[in-house]
Amino acid sequence: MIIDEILNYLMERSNYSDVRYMEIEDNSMAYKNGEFMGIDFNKDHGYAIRCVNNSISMGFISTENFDEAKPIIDNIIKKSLLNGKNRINKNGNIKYSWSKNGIKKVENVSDEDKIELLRDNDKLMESLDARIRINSLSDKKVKQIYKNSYGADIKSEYSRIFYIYMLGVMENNEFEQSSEEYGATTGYEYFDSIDLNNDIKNDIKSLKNSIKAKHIKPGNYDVIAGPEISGIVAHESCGHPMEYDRIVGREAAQAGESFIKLNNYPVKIGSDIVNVVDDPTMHDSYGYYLYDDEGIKAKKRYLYKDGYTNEFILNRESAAISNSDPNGGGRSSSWDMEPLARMSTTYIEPKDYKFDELIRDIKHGIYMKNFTEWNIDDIRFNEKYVGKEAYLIENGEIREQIRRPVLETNTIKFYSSIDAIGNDLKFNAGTCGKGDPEQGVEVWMGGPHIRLRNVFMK
Amino acid sequence: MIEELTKKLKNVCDEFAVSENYENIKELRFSNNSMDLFNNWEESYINVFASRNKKTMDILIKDYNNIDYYMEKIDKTLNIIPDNPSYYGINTEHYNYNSNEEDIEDIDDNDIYDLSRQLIDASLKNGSDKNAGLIYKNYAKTRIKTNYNDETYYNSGIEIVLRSFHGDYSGQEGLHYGIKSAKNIDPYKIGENAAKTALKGNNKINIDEGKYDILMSPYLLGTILTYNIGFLSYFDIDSGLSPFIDKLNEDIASKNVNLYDDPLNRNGMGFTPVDEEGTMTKKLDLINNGTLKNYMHSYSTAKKAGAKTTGNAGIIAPVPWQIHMEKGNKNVNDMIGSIDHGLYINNSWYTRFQDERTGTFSTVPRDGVFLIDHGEIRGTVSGIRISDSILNILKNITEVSNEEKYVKWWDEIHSSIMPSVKVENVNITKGF
Repeated sequence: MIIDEILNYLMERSNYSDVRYMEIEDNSMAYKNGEFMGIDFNKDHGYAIRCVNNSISMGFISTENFDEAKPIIDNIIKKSLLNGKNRINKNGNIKYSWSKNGIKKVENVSDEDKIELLRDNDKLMESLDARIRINSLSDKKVKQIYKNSYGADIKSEYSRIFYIYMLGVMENNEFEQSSEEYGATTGYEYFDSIDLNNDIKNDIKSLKNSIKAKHIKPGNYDVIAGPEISGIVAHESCGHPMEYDRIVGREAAQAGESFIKLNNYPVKIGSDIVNVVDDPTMHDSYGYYLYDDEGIKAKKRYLYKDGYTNEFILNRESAAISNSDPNGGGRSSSWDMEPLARMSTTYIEPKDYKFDELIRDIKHGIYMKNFTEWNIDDIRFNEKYVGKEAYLIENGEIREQIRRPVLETNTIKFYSSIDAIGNDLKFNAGTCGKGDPEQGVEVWMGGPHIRLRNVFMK
Repeated sequence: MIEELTKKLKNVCDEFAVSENYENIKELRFSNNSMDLFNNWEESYINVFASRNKKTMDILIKDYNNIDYYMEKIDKTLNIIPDNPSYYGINTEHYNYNSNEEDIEDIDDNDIYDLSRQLIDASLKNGSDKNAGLIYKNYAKTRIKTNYNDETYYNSGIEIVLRSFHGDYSGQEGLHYGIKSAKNIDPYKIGENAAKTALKGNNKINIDEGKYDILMSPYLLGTILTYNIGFLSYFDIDSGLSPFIDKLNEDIASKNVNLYDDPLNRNGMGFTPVDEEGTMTKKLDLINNGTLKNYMHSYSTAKKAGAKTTGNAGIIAPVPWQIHMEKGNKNVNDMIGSIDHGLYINNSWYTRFQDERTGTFSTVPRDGVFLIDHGEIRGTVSGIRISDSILNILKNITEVSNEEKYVKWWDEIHSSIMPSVKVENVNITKGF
């Protein structure tokens, strides 16, 4: 390993430098419509090297020979002498080690057992007449060492597991599809904590019912949104717009900016009861970590609090721009990507309503349990969620299923229409995209059931 | 290295397709009119596809000192995994390649910084107040070696993205250049175009939901086709998740649409002379005068479908290389002038599907969205979506421009070559 050699070389030639070494071993496999699609096995490693002088530059190499690495290192030193932005927060440097590999460690689970899990789920779907079936399982084990020129030395080792299925049912030449994702930072005991079989059964049943269901008459309804919707809303219209690098325009050419502007801060975003949290330390989360990819201690952050914007997500670079300390939001998807301000586990904080209490005084409403198509604009304001499993509510009771109801609204209207928040916090896994080159990082998105009053549905 | 590796592979698998890669990529990112970051990647790695009978696996090799470890892994894995019934082998035909051209140069990266300044300055000079973007410079050497073929090719190119702002309004250009066209970069024109789109923004207008005729710029068309063209991969057809199932030789688009894969076009970064199993690539008709002519195949998917490989391996899942919609004969200004009540949309993002069997999706317009009233651009529209299907859009392309752009942008537009098109009766929705 040449991490110290690289760092020592840079320290003599830069105002600030850091080096991150990663080893990643990952396996993935899939079944498609009853057929095994093969296995992918990757054993990857490399160094992310950052050098700050008059500007910031990074080099990415995978050689273990310093002499081979030197031309790239010299090139980034040279480029860092060009004029550009060069602010970076240099605080928060300690030595620490952490690990999270769970009990049933990924390296101890056989390929045969993983294949059996996929095959069983494929067969279950087939037995329930799902014509289109894709089941995919992947796991990875990561070892990382982060060091910088101010003494930080963070070692970490963790495992992540990811399962995604996609299925489609067809009746009377009509089609409905569904995709669900599961993930955690732990070992294979994760599958004991979820009920994949039951989820698949319920999903197929609701898709079949959806085909037979009617579309709603457009109009204003009270809406109960399920945890999957709370989660995607927390991620898309709170987490992303509170990434400080977006707010100051660094991501403008790609993932965009933010509706939140610094000249009008703080921003009232909704009801006083709304709190949205991002917490990398959430146990077992797919986005779990104790120290970020810039060596900064992770912590729980209230992004929206009491209906107002509250704390930004910061990496070292954006912290320097905001004249504050980083708060553990610097994440990179791999050794060959720069650390950006990223989410980890973002959720609407639960309150105390039971589901029955949320629903009982709704005269004419909709229960939108989860979603299929969704998207949002690049300032994270205008958004759309299409219901997958959804029902009418009449006089406090759930009635017949409805087909693909659409909530097309904006961030302020959504959060302002929330008048009650449930106590049943749940999470879904996902991969969050940002940066150029695009890098997807593992996240959980979550929330409880929430009640929205008088929103337009179509 | 590759000789030793392939010699050993013969002991653990029946067939193999090995790609040995060297990449040197440089990137400069900028925002708020100044540089944020310079990145430099240098990497060597080997990808191996290995099969034994109908068992298949892929493996990444970077530790060249431990080849025996990888051989043991391949042997063990191929012993225990189930068959892939859809796998029918790799291409056995031997090719005499001619892709090994001598004119590849590693373009001087000292020019990247100057180029970024020229882009920003050109945009500012044309009235923008803020600019963000990037420049990539890629250089790659790839060697594909299978049981039956052995070929090395080089590729190099430049990608430029510029998003210019004028107050709340933005315009964007995202272009790619291959080795044959890299000398033709005109930073002033790129800056001018991005700024001009941003400066068109004014007079925000609310519109109703409904059907509109849309002038789609090459960027919007590139986004929509990037998200939909994978449905022409036989992997998707065979999966049952495609709007193009059972539509070969049917009229799926208007007669104005000629769409092909264009992997040998060295003016673009998508140049790929050899696919992942060593098949020589070729210009492939996908849609000809509105008729669907081909799905994209590897040798294996072609065998399953009773067709011939089209040189689009991905061995298990075929992929497009560089999609090209043939330009037409209409002047863009005349196309705008022909729209009585419609929209001009420069780009979009966040394309998501609710039904992949019908290709029903929505996508969020950005970086230049204007109302066209009686043939003239009147004002800016925001908060809308295109909520429609790829089949409707292809059927309703009534005019194709006589100019095209080599477009590429972030994760939304793969390297492709697109004209502007006029599409009638596109469904527009908006938030309430």
